[in-house]
Amino acid sequence: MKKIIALFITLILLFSLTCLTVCATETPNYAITSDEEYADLGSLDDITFANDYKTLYCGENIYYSFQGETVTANSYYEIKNGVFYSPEQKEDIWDSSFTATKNGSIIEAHFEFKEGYSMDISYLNDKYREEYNKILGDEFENYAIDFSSSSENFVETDKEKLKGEKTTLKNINELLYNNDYAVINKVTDGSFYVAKGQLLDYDGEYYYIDYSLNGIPQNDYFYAADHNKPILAYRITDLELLQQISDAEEIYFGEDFGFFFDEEFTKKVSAVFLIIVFGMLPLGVFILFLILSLRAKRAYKKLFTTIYIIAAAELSVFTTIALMLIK
Amino acid sequence: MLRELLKYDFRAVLKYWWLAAVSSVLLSVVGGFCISVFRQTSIGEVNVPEVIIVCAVLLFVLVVIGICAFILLSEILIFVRFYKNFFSDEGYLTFTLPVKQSQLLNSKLIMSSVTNILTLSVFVLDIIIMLAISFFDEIFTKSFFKQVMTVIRELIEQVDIYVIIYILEALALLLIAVIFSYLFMYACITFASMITKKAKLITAIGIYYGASSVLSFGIMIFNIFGTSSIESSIALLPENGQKMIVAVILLGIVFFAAMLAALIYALEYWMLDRKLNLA
Repeated sequence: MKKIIALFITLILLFSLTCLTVCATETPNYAITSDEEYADLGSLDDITFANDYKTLYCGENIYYSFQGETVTANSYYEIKNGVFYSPEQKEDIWDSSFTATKNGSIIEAHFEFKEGYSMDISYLNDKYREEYNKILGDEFENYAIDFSSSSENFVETDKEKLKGEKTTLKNINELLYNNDYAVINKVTDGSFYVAKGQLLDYDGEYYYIDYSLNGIPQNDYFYAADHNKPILAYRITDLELLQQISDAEEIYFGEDFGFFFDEEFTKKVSAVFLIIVFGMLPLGVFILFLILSLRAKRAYKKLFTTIYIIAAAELSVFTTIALMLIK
Repeated sequence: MLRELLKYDFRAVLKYWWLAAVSSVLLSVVGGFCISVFRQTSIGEVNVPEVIIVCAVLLFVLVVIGICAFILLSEILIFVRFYKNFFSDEGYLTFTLPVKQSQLLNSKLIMSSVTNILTLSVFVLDIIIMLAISFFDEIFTKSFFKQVMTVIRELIEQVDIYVIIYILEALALLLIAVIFSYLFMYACITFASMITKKAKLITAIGIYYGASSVLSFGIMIFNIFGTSSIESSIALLPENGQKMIVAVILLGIVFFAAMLAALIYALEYWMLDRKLNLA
């Protein structure tokens, strides 16, 4: 009994130490360590709001509320600026939090009110209003194809070059298991963008799925599983653009140990793996234990017989699966 | 004779287990009240003194440690019973009993599986008690029961033959996984007893961690490489075909797991029968 208690206490201590160590390493460090972790709003002045919360002021910058879901920004950062509320606003607000793009083009605000409800508002820096209207209205000539992975990797192209040969893509849910990349219309400094479509790399060809051609809302992500109908697309034919795409893909694959993301290679490797694990292994076990059971004495005979019967059952199920998938 | 073996095995384990189970249930009651304090603090309707909040936090930490300790203790009791009954001085008596080796091993397996299920049941009961106490005002109302009944009715409507098959296969897989995990540990303990005379338990723990690391690595490789081909092939089938093939695949996995469990059972049996030397 003493040994059990001693072992029990030792294990509890080890368990607690392990938990503490894991928690200590997992806890994010909220202390300010570097300016790179924060957005730069161009001024360290306190943020203030109009009474209706539709306008935000920070130093010389004015922000107006807008439909934040119409655009996408890659990252949001915490802000260093303080917030100053008017006495009337202080009576209403219980808590608030803010994040912004790195250069302060967009601020995302979350308000919690004492009455129990909350509100999320997106604010656009007035200096970006013109570019925002241009990317929404599709007035820029160039689009960018996003091949970014661990580092930025874009192919800038004239949007007309994407519109090669018009075609129809069927079995879209299967095709979009191949590589697809966002085609975006971004502001000059790249802080936010609108997704206009997707570039699909399939069977040696590149296809551009234009959202406007298919009635898909821009900036939406095209989920293949939701679409069973054929999709209109453009097969890219411009040689210069094809070369740029090919070069960008090489960098993309090179950063991520490329062949792991090649769907055809992964399919073949996984098929071989499944044959070895669910085919060869049970077959080997079946043969081995069949031979052993013929030579074994009574107690072992029953045991080995049970094993080779289970292995045979597994082999036959695997064969059934393979036949069903092939047919 | 198996019944007699089971009787003594359960007696040895449950002697201490029931105390720990009752303690964990009592702790869960305390935990429920602690969560109530946290709820009142977050809602803000009642002004809870800071001292009470601090006490509640400390108590809750103890509750969590206590419940984890109960689960740990039940596992320890199972393995200590196996070790003492086979590899200590008691082992001389055990292996001279007029029973088959397979019955000795089966008795341990049944005892460990049943104790595991009981431990899991007590753990679930603990969670239910904590939730019932902390959300007392929301759970024991007509509207909550109506919501629960609606959810159950909707779930039942969605049940078809394939869902039942999946559930049965999942339960079978779970049972096999439990048996496999205990056989794995028993095999490590037996192997350690074979290769060393001193510090058998420490050696067993070391072998267990080494072997389970290798197993985890194999499972990780399987998860990376083993599923891509099947997923894309299944996606091309019509919906009914997909359900049937998923059911057949699960059956294949059940048989595969059973084969692995049977292999390790054979290994353990062979080690106990041929290789064990208690001298």
